[in-house]
Parts: sequence; structure tokens; C-alpha cells
Amino acid sequence: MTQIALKTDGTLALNGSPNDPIQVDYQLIDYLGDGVAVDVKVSLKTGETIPSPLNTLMRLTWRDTATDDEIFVIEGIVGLDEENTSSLMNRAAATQAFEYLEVTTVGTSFASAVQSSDAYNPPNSRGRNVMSLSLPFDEPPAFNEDDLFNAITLMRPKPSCMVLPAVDDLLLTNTVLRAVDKLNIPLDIELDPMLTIDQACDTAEAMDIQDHRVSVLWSPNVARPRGAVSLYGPKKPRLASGAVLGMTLLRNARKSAKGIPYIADPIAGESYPITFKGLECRRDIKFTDEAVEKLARAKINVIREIDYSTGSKFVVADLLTQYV
Amino acid sequence: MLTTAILGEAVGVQHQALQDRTATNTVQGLTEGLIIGKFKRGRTDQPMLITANTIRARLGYEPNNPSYQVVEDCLDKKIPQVWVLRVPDTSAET
Repeated sequence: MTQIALKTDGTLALNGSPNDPIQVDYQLIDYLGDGVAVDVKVSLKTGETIPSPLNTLMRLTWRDTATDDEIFVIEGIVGLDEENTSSLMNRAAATQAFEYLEVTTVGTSFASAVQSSDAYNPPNSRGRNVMSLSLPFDEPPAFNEDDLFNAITLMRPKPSCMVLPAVDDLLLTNTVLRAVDKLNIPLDIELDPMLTIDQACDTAEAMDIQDHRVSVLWSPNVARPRGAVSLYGPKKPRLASGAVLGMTLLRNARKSAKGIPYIADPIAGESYPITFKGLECRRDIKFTDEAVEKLARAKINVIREIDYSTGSKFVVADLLTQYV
Repeated sequence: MLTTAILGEAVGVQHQALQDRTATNTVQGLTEGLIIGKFKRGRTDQPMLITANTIRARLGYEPNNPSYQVVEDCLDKKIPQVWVLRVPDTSAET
């Protein structure tokens, strides 16, 4: 629970007391992490001149201090009850981002407290007075297998496909595999792009998945970062499972005349290339016959450059049966 | 030109009021993708519905985080939304 209080002397603080003119108690559903501040701006309804709980607007903006991204913004009248659509409480409930948000106001010396605040914007002013309060580090509760299992299996709507981009965590991987079994949906797991061929095979075999719904992807390639403008520059390893999931969802959204999505058309091969900028295979990876055989035995789907009549493309390759 | 304050009377301007489909049975397609990963910000008890507009604010901008990159790449394919489940760090497990 967090409190934002406007004190009787006009200062803002994160700890409230019973005689504060305005006190906001809230609990967000999201955990904000660190580097978040809340900007408070107080003003009056149009036409009013003296602050009172029924005409004072408060605007709260939760903002990332590093990037200035606005996470949540709410604005409403502090003294109205939650059934009134102009009240701060009602607006907070409408965002569906809060467990609860309660505002309490104290009428005595309310006007003087608000007017002496640096966050107060008097009528007919430029409206630029804002006070920021840094929020403490907001950490989620520790990992719990059963909570994760329930979060996946009980979600509404039911997921149609899942992606687990990082498998360095055995506990997480096992919980997700259990959830796949319960939901009976496909799962794509991706291995670290910087592994060697032997390491990738060992990791896949050690996971011992034995489940036809699970595909193991591996993209031993480097590419320019997502926001890069030029093709030449430092190249970084990039996970491909996001792009594969995007293509899968697009394919599933396309339906035949009878309303059936083209699920028999696999997200692999020429029609579904990976299109990262400057994508190229890592120089230390050599797809010799021996290496290809080893990867196929480990049942890893490698993202690899294959030549087609329409040009060479990086695709999710089926190693042994692919005609190269 | 006809000027009117009543929408629906003016040619070319349409307004469909908000429709409550809470109790209806909408057909689910195969378009609910779920990405599980570790992020800087976000709830952990349920998956979040992330769009290209909300990814930065809801998950916390971390361009070097592989999980964040996966969500970005997925949304770059121009799909409208994807479910993302944040997992807290497993190093301090209960």
C-alpha cells in the first residue's frame, strides 16, 4: 500500500496522517519496479476560485524517471465519492489498474493547505506546477511454482500457443511444461543463441521433454539490433521466438472460406522467413553433416539460411529432410 | 453542409456506443499467444494484454532484455495484442 498526502503546510509526502487535507491510499495491481515517480498536480474546476474538497482536481501521473514514459494517469475531484464519475476514486477504478484507491479529505484549513502547495495551479495560470515524488522499489513476491501454474492454466481467455524465450531456469521450464500438458497447446522453447552446437544438443537432451506439443528453437545467428538504422555495425544475438509467434498468430487469424485457419501450413520454410536486419550465421557455427545429424537427433529446430529459387532466406529449418 | 450536434444524423459520421459483451459467448480463435518472461515491471499473478502502445509503460523499457525483445518482435509483426506473463526471479523461491 502507498500513500500520497498533501499536508497542512502544502508539502507532499509519501506518508499520511489523519489530519492531512488530502490523503490518497492506493495499491496498484502491477509491480512498478524501480525508477518510478508519481507527479502530482492540483487545480480547480473551471470557474472556481477557492479550493474545497468538492472542487479541487488532482492529477496523478505514474512516470518512468529514466524514459519519461507515462505508466498510468488519473485525474479527478478529490472530495467526491466513488459513484460520481468526476471523482478521483471513480476514475482510478475505471482504469482497472488499481486494487483500490481511496481518497480522504479534511475540510479544515483545506484551502490554505492547497494554495500553499507547489503542486497547486491557481485558476488562469499556465498550469505547469507539478510536484514529483519518487516511489520506493516495488518488488513482486518471490517465485512460486503453483502460482505460475495457476496463472497460465486458469487465464481467460485460454491461450492458443505459448512461448518460453529463456530456458536457463529449470524450475520455470518444468512448471511451464506441466502447464502445456494441462492445456494441450503448442509451446515454443528457445535456446540461448550463443551456445555451441554441442551445448545446444546437450541442453535439449537434458530437458528430456518427450512432448509432441513442444518445439525447441535455436537461432545461432547475429543481427543488427531492432532499432538500428544502418546494416553495417555491431551485430548482436537475437531470439527469434517472438517473430515466430507473431507469424503463427497471423497465420491463425487467416481463415479459409469455411472459417478454418491454415494450421496445416507450418511456420517454417520459404513462406515464413525471419527478417531481422543484417541477419547472418555466427562464424563459429559450422553445419557439417555430423553437426546437422546431432541437432536433428536432439530435435532442435534451427533457424538457418536456406537457398530457395526465390533467394536465400533465414527460416526455421527442418534439418534432415530439408532439401538444401 | 449540415451542422448538427446529434451524431448519427450527419452524413459520414458514425458513432457506435460502447457495447457490453460481458455475458456473451464470443468465439475464441487460435489467436491468443502467451509469452512468459522476466521483465522490469508488471503484475505477476495474471498475464497482461500488451499492445505496441503499452509495451514500454507496462513492462518497463529494457531494450537489452531478451524477453522484452521477444515481445517487441512479436508486436512488430503487426499483430494487435499479445498476452505476456511476467515471472519473478526464481533465485529467491518460496
